[in-house]
Amino acid sequence: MSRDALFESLRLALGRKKFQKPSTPPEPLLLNRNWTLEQRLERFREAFAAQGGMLHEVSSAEQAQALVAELLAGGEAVASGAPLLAELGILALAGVQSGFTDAELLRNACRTARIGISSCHCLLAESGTVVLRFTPEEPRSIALGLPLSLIIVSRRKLLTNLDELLGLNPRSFESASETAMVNGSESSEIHLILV
Amino acid sequence: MTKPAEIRAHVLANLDHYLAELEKQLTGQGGTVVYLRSADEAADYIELLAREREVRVTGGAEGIRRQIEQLEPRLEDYLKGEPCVAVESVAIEGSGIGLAGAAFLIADAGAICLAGERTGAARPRVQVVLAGIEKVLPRMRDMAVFLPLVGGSDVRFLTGPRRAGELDGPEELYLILLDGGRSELLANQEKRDLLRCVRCGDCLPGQAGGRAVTCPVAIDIESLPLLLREEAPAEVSGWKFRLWGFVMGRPRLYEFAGQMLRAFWREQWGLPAPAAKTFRQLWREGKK
Amino acid sequence: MTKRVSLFVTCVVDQLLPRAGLAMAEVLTQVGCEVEFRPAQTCCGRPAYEAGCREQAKLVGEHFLASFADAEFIVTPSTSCASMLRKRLPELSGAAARETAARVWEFSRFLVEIAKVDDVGARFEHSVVVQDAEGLNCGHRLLSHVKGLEQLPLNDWTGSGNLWGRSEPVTPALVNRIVASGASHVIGMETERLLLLRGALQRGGHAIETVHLAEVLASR
Repeated sequence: MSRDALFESLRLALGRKKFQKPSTPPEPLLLNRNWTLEQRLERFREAFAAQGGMLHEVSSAEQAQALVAELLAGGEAVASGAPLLAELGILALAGVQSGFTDAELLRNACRTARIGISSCHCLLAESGTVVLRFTPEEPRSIALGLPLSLIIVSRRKLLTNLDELLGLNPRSFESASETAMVNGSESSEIHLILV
Repeated sequence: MTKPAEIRAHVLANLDHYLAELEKQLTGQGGTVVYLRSADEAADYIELLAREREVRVTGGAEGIRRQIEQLEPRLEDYLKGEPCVAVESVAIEGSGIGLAGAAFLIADAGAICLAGERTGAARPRVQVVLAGIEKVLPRMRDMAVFLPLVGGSDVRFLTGPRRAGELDGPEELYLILLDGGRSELLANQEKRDLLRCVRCGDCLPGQAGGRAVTCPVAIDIESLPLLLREEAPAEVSGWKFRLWGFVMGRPRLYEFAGQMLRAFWREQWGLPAPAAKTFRQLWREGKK
Repeated sequence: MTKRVSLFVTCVVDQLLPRAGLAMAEVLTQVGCEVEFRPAQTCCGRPAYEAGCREQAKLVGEHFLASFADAEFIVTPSTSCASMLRKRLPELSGAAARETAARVWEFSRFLVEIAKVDDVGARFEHSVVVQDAEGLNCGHRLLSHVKGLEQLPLNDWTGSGNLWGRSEPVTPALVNRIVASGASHVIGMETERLLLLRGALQRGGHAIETVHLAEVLASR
């Protein structure tokens, strides 16, 4: 079917002219809850755990390193290029491979590693959701492709809900090729470290 | 009218505009938008694509067509309550071409929303997404009211193929927009409202669990889908309901069936077990 | 004048929630109605109607009509069955059904609009959450007069589920919120929904009880 024929039949059915502008669409109501950080944390802990996620809360880079080392248990991990991971000294830990610039090398590394370490775009407290945005620094295969996904993120990235994310800058989605919202996982384990 | 209903009605009244905006936006982000008439046309298109990309396809065009019908069933079939799989991705062969059905399309962001379980499990080189032309919404912020309707533990927004510098993600992204009789439905005053459907599934037989259902997009669910179901009731329900009707017209048989229900109750059904005695037993005992 | 009420308990209450039926009978007796139960009754026909099997729905609907032909008031604990009988049955069976169908009343509506009672003198000393079903203002009115009842708020559903007053699906999230509210009882006004909730709470191992509105109104 040609595109033009379809558009022609749509316009005919609707009684619209070519290039006719629509009226302003009805505005969705965004729920603004104004939760404090403590309220958001409390809700997130509950909701994230309910979906089978493991939440760890740390207050220093040393604690984060110790926790990651414990989860690694001598095994191998691949880490994304998220600046936070470097800042926390995660990339320097034994067994952690990072700095991928080649697709083939990344694929091979993912074949042997058990853990993928990455950061995320934000968290949604109300639903316990992890929002991942895939970029050259944050490849899909590290964030979600391995048996254990370890996501390290700052408490500052904890938003109240989807409405808040959409209200902030709804056009941010186009800035990357994909945004994923994950609520637990049946196929792999998800650990989240809040710094 | 409810907010989702207002937004859906607005989209349908201006469908050509929002499709054009979506197409422009997604194309600008590197995606390819194709308009096709039917599942058959889509199957042929995908088979040809697979051949060009040298990906082997099991089951040929016929196998693809069956997958398409499952991923993006006709609205009429969906509302009739015919069994279909939830929106999920399937890989045709290896990780060459991946097929998925879209939950929503977002015009201003040029985004495809996939919602379901494990929507991103397959990592194909070529991602093909099927969507009915009615699935478009004006803006990303509309998701605040629409996403809660469909849910799914795994929600993805595809805004194009992989970009420069990215190490993974699909190299090509195709959005196949299916007409499949929708433009005719749009022209039919009596049935146009059906296209507001966002496939939340609340009104489907079995899903409703018997509760009073209010359609979030204000489709007259008490008559429109029934109109369709009645035109062709689902086959399996036919004999089931004949048996059910036979029992329900005979109080003694009904009472016996109730006792059988107790005798063969299975906890796996996930419902609270029936009370030890029925209301009518208790009533009889109370009156003695 | 004493009102003669014929109970249509529905198949769900008969088989699965008999206590709600008994409580309904008790409350109706208490407010001065003469209550009877006709054992010939079975189902309203809704399952078949919803599946598009109109023939079967009509058949079962006609069994209902025959069973209740001479009843003065037909009172049922389910809004959806009431609506099936009042609105849909006449579409299927024509004028003959209309007259009987108009005598069908949902329990809380019957109390408020026909029996003209708001306060049935109930006492229910528990903290509860009320599971809303749409358009049950009468139920809320009756509950507001129950002594000792502490109604706890149920936080809004994620996103915007309650904006259009639609019943929220019974999800693990809803169960979590009910548990988090600290209520000891959930009051349901819609039988099937109550059943789904009961199942979900039991599966989760929560000791929260689910009761039908009638059971609350019958307690002293």
